[in-house]
Parts: sequence; C-alpha cells; structure tokens
Amino acid sequence: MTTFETVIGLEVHAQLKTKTKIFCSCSTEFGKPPNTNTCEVCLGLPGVLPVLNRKAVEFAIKAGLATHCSIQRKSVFARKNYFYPDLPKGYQISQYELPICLKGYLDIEFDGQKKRVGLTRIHMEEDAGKLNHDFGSSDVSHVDLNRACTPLIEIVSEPDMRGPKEASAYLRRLRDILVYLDICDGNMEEGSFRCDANVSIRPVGQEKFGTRCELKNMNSFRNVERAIEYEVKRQEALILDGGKVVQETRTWNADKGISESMRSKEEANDYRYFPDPDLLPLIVEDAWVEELRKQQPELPVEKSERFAKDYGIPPYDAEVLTADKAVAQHWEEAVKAAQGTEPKKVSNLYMTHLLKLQKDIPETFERITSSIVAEVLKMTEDGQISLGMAKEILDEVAASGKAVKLIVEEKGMVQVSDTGAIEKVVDQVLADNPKNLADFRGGKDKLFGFFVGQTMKALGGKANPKVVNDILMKKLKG
Amino acid sequence: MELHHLTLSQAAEKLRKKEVSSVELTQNSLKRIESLDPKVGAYLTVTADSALTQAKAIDAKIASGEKLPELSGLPFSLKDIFLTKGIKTTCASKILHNFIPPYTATSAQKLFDQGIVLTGKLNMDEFAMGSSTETSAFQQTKNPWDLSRTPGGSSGGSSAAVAAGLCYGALGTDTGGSIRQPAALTGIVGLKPTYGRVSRFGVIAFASSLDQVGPMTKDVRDCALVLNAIAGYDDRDSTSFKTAVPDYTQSLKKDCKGLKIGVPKEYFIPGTDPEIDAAVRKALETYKELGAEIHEVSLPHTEYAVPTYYILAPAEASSNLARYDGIRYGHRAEGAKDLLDLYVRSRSEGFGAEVKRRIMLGTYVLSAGYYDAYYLKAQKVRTLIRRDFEEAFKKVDVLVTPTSPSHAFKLGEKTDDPIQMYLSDIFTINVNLAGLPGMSLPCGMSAGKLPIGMQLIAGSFQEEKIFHAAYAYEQATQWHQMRAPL
Amino acid sequence: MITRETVEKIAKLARLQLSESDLEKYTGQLNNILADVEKLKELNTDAIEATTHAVEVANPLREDEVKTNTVIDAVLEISPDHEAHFFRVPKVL
Repeated sequence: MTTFETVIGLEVHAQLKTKTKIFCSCSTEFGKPPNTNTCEVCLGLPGVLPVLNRKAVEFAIKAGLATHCSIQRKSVFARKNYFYPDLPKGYQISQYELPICLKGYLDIEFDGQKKRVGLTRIHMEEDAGKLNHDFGSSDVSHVDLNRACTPLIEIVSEPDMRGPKEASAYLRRLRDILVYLDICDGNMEEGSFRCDANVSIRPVGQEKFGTRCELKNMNSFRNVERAIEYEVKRQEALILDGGKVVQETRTWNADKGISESMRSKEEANDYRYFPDPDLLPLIVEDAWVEELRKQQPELPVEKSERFAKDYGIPPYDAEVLTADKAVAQHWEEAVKAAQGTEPKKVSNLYMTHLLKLQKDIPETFERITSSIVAEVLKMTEDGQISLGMAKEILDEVAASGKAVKLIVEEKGMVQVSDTGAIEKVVDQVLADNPKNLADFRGGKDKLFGFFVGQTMKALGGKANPKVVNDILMKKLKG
Repeated sequence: MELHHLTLSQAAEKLRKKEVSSVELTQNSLKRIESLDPKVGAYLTVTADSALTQAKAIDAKIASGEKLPELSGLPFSLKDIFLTKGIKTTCASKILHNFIPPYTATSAQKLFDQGIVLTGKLNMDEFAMGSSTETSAFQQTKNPWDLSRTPGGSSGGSSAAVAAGLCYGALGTDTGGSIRQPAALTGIVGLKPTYGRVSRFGVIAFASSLDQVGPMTKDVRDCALVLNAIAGYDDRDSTSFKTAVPDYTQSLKKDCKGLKIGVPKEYFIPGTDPEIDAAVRKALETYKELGAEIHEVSLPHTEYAVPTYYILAPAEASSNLARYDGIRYGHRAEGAKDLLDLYVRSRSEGFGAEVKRRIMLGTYVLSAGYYDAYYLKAQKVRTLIRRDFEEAFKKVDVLVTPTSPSHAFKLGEKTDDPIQMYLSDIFTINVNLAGLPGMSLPCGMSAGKLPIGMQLIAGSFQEEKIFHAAYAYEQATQWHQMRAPL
Repeated sequence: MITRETVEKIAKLARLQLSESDLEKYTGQLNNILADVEKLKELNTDAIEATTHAVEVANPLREDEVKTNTVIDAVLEISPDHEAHFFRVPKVL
C-alpha cells in the first residue's frame, strides 16, 4: 500500500491592535453598535481616499523582524476587486506583488522535535465588514461595517509542515510571538487570529506536490488539527479509491467534524489586481527598521532559554512559563522577590497550581501579585505554614482579593513546629494505640503512616510534617 | 460693462469699492440662470436660497468693516462631481440621482472658506466620461456661442455657465482634457494643475491616477486667484503634494523676454482644423513679438497617448465605480430576487451606455491573462510619454499646442462613434498621463464665430511658468474680452 | 478578437446586464477600441519601468489617533434599505 506524506502551508490573518483603522481614523474598538465605528472612508462613499496608518506599518514591520523576514524598502498596495456586501468599495486594498515582508522563518517544536518553517511573506490589508444573518426577516442579511478597514497582516508560510501537530505548533508559536509583540490579541474564537490551511498529500518520496485544498473556518487550534486530520484522511481515501483531489476551498464544520466543499457557492473569481492609484508606494527607510529592531522585546524562545539557563529550571517549565508574556514577567518578578527560595520551587507553584487557578479565575495574576507569591513561599520556607496551606491561601486571594495576613488569621493557619507541643501529642497517640504500637515495633513498618495521620489529626493539620516525622520516628523506635 | 460680463477680480473690485453688494451680484446671477439656463442647460441644481443667505452674510461682514478674502461674496458654481454636504451631488448619473452627501470636498470647502457664494451644481458627462457633456443622464448642455453645438466635456456645464455669464467662475475636473477642451470650445480659461497640486478628496473618482481639479474662469488672473485658493496638501489625499503653494498672481507678467517656448511638431498635424492650426501659429508670432524664443521640439510618443489612456482610465474607472452597488446609497433596483440580481439590476439601470462601455473595457483589460498585455504595457508606455516631456522641458519653459483638433461640434455628431469622440482629446490626454499642468486659453475665433483655444503645458509644479506665458499673451490680445452672444 | 461570450463573461464580472442589442454593439465597439490599442505593441517596453503614479514620492502616513465621525446617520437616512442601524440586503447564502 502506498504511504502518503502530508504537505501543509498556512495562511494566517492577524488583526493588528491599532487604535484606528488602517486607512481612516475610525476606532477599531470591538463590540460597538452596528455601523457606529464608521466614517465616509470605510463606508466607501463617493470621493473618499485612503490614508495609511503609521502604526499599522510599524506593527507589520515588528512582525516581520520577529519572524526573520527581510523588510522591503518599497512595497505597494493593490486593489483586489470583487463584489460582496461586506466590502463597501467593491475592492479590498491589499498588498499583492510587492508586500512589506519577504522570506522569513519560524523555529517550532512538536513531539520533542525541532523544525524550521519558512515564511513566504507578510503583507498588509484591510479587513471586510460583517454580515449578520440571524435576525429580522429570514430573507435578508444585515451589513455591519464596524470591522471594515481594520488593519490585518496576512502571514503566509511555505508548504513546510508535514502533519496536523506541526501545523498547530507553528500556529501557537506564531500567535505567542504576535501577542508578545503586543500587536495582535491572538484570539481565535473572536477572529482576531484566523487561519486557513492549504493541505495536500503525495506518495512518500515524490518530489511534486499533490493537488491542494484550502481549508477555512477553523476557529481554534484544536479545530485546525482536527480539520487537517480529516482532510488528509479524505484525500487518502479519495486517491486510494482511484479518484482525484480537486483543487477547491472547503469549510470546516466543527459540529459534524467534517469539511464541506464551498465550490457550489464559489464563482470563478477573477480579482483583477492592480496597484491602487490612491496610495503611493510605501517607503520604509532603514533607520525606521533599525529603530524598531532595537525596540524589539525578548521573544518567547529567547526568554525560555534564558529562564532555563539563568534560573536552572527544566526547559519544559521554562517553555510553559514563557508562553504567556504576562505570566513570564509575573514569575520572574516572584523569583526575584522571593530571594532565597529556589526558582524551581517557585516554578513548581506556577506549574502545579497557579496556571490552573488562572483558568478558573481570570483575575488570578492581578490579585496574586508577584510579591504575594514571594511572601507565601517564604512562609512555607520558614515552616510557618505548609505547602497545602500556601495553596489554600492563594486560592482565597485569587477568589476574594483579601490580604494574606487576614486569611491566615481568619483560618487560624499557624503551623505548629514547637517540638514540645508535638511531643506531647505524639505521646498521647502512642498511649491511645498500644496494639498498633506493638505491631509496628514487631515489624509492621506500614503503620508509620497511621501514626502520622493520627498525630496530624490531633494537631488539626497545622503541624509541620517534617517535625512530626522526626519525633514519631524517634519515639516509635522507643 | 454689464454686471454678468465682469471677471471675478473685476467683480471683487466693485464689491470692495461698495459699488455693488454680494446680494446684488448673486441676485443678478440667479436671474440670469433663471432666464438663460433653460436654453443653455448648464445647471443640474440651483442653490438660490442658500446662495442668498451666504451673500447676505458676506454683505454684513463687509458692512462691519471686516477684511475678507478676495473671492468673498462672488457667485461661483461647481461641477456636479464635487461633494457638497447637504446639497444633492449626482455626477450626472442616475445611479446617484438621489445622493445627498454627508461631507464636502476639500477643494470646495477651501472656496467656501474664502467666502464664495455657491449658486449651483453644473452638468457634466456621466462620471466625467465623455467630451461633449452628452452622456449626462439628465440633460444636454449647449454651447453659449451656438446653441446647436456642444460646450465640450466632460466639464461642459462649467464651461457653458462661465461663458454665458451665469456665474463668475467654476471648478471642473480633468482626467483627459475635461477642463481644457470645454474651455477651448467656449472661449474661456481652464487649467488642469499638476497631479497632486489640488486635493481630490470629495471629488467623485473617475480615473484616480489621472483626475485633477482645476479652475474655469473668464481670464488668466481669475484662474490664478482660484488656484491660490484651492491648491495645497490635504492630509486626506495621500497623492496630494506637500510643495509650498506660491501666490500665482505674482507670475502675471506682461513681457516674455527670455521665455523659451517649445512647439512640439507632433501637435501640428493634418487632422487639425486649419483655422485652429493657423490661430495657434499666429499666437506663436505674438510670443516672438513679446520677446520669447521659439524652439521646435519633439514628443515622439504622442501618437500612443490615446490608446494608453483608453486602457488606464477605464481600468481604474471599472474599480472606482464598483462601490455603486445599490446597498448603502444611490439607486437600488426594485424587487430584486437575490443579491446578484440586486447588484446587476441596480447597476444596469443606474449607469448609462458610455459608463457601461468603459466599465466593460476596464474590466476586460484587468482580467486574468490580459493584465500584462494591456494594463502593464500601457503603464510602461506612460513612462515613455512622461520621459518625452521631461526631455522637452530640459530645453524649454513651456510648450504651446492647440487644445482641441476641432471647434465645438454639433450635438449628436459624435455620439455614435466612441473612437471619434475619444480623438477629440488627442492633444490633452498626454498631459494627464505625464501628470503635468496644462492650461487652455482663448487665441482666436473661427469664421463661423466659434472660439479657438491654445494649450500651454509646463513641467511638474511649474504652473507659474504657465501663468506668466498665458497672462503676457492674454494682455497682448483681445480674445479674453469676447463674450458669447446671449 | 473579443467574442460575444467574452463580453458576456466580462459583463457578469462587472455586475452588468446587457441587452441582446447592447451585447452586439459592445462586442463591435470593444473590438474597435482594442484594435487601436494594438498600436502599443509597436513599442518595445521590456526595459521600461511602469508608471503607476504621475508623481513618484513616498506615501504619507497618518498618526494612529481616533477621530469621531457621525456621517453614518446621514448615510442611513439616504440608504435604500436599512434596519436597526444595519444596511439591509437580500439574504446572503
């Protein structure tokens, strides 16, 4: 049987976090009443002209620098002509032949392997408006142009990926970078980070690419993987059945778990691209690029490597901690504030507890500041509280925002480390359980746990476990 | 002289001296429109009420001793391609028959800021596509010199209104000759400034890389005054230019000593009406007498201009006119059965034959497989045409040519033959392709009492040279004093 | 030569409907115009750069500052069909 190799290239549309639209001064704020973020320009009235947003260009350059692209000194905006109700001018302004960034790459990791994925280009364009099909009479659609003219960059990869896992690793890495650069909020569900996939298969060893299909409408990383998995199976089955893959656009139906052909709805499009005469060539001087290069923040990969090296935490921890820029910063500040505590311990607290807590309570890292983390960790180091108590305190801070001291007082969380007090309790426990004591001394080592449990119980769980262990061990052995 | 025959600067002088009020000038213009425009057909909209309100306000300011800009209080009209907030703007198309703009064009606003009194919106070829104003969806405009003839186009309402003394000046737009050719055919002065000199914001686009706004006036001084008012960078037009705007009236000098005039041999061809050829040659004699040097020059790619233009302009137009889709404003077909039907019927009902022809041509030359052969090729030839001029302007200051190969032609004469119509722009199109300033000014009269215009062309942003040469010639001759017999 | 079928295809692309007689007429006229355009082939332009703009300077850039704008109210007022601050169109499938 023929074995096939999957070939995947991704096209990502990322909405840039500018205050205003790419070609007019309207706000890009999300969630406003229909058509209120509009003006004569983005409504496509007669006589209007586009004026390019400097910030949008800056963000596109930043994306290019972070992905090792060469920034083009001269790039040109073109018109892509087609009719659709969400496209007010009857054309979309987009870079075509001469985009702002060319030839970059992204290093990704998946299943423990490392790989470099090439970027063909990054270009700038305006977004379209939105159509609402869900209210009013059933035979009409409603046009909202608030999103029309919002700046996008389209990042086009080379067909370098060979499986769904690679594709999602690439997407995550790309998203992390854009979020780190603070140029895109990376929200796939809300559509500020959208991905189309070109998928084809070929027999292993064959040089030539197979016929590809373009997959659309995958609004989560999981769906990207699922859609590609499905598409690969579909193409394999088709070819093994003696059929041929037809080049087409397919839309992913997440509910049904299948992709559906859009061919019937698609007409033979002829976009008639030509340079937009209303915009002169965009010239990016070297000095501007150099300035932006200097401002470039530390990116996830660099930060992760630095954390592992400087703080001696495992590479896996470093990667998890640096995926989100805010978390990475929070952690690093906590390490510095908790001087004397081993970074690995700080890392453990984030990995095993705080990151999960954040999923339930989005305000977690606002309420639990780095210095609170440090304070609580210090209390455990000093033996004032147990790690369990520490977690309980942090849960309470995240939920209520109360001060640590207050919680400790309210819950009476003081760990007993006073050996005299503990010895008394241990003596009592041994006196109360003569049979078990005899059994232990007769060789039933397992009963050690029983005595620990009884002692802790008697102390209301507030005893320092290490001290309890030491005393028990001494007294049990008699 | 009768009030309506005055130039802008003469009327301004009378206002300043309080010999006349703005209300009187305005009422006089409105009366003249009322009595004569039924014959001329220049106006699509007359804004009588708002004009009188504006005029009264200006008079009050004059009475209170306020110092006002020179154009304040003077009745002025705009081609119906300039968006005017709250005043219907149709571009002479059915597709915009009901369009009330929510904003005003930058160039119009600059004139309003100067205090001009807007008396109305002027007829034109639909979407400025035409050379006779006959493609207007609403009415025909006639040449005030001979009502059976065209006033030229596309700014034919503007040329007719100024030539008939219905207003003191007007703005037009020029994509391939649409200011200069009608100016020539009606015996007035029309200037197409350098591309980028005047903002295009709020001017309904025909071909964006060629369109330019310009004054249409009775003489050269008026033209300079209006250009002073409208020129300059606009942060809402990325293609407008940041070069400082000089005071163009400073260039109005009477002698031409040392001025080098180029005569491009390709513009003196057998196809041109002999009377026009002769009138322009005579003008060259006048220039010699004024101290100018005359040099023959060559613009070898001249003959390629018309085909180049008829690729580039329709291509851009086909895209510019895609926004007229019946969704947000303008004409919408009744009872469309689905979205496609809505598009197709709204557009087919809304656009006239010439507009459809150009949309078709433009769509074709941009479509897959033809782009390189047509559009890209034309852009490259455009480079050659531009270089011809650059070479010529290394040797001379201005070029002198006829504006149009023919006098005002009879209405209906060329409407069935698009190519014949396109050829009437043969001497003006090159200037748009090269982005240069060009002016038409009167230089003679045919035996049949039809005006003749000559064209002055200068290098990029060299309007001052045109004003210098034009004013000197005008002052040495009488042509600018001719008034249409109405 | 442009055929009638091409003219029909172009009309569809441009969202125009042509009557039978218009189709005939436009096919003829477009062919005449394009025959004139053939003249450009006389020129060798291989080494010539295309002119996309009459004036070649750098594109100006706008600062990222929000300006409020309320033209939408006037636009909705003149729009052919609107509802609840939306423009309304026949159902898009």
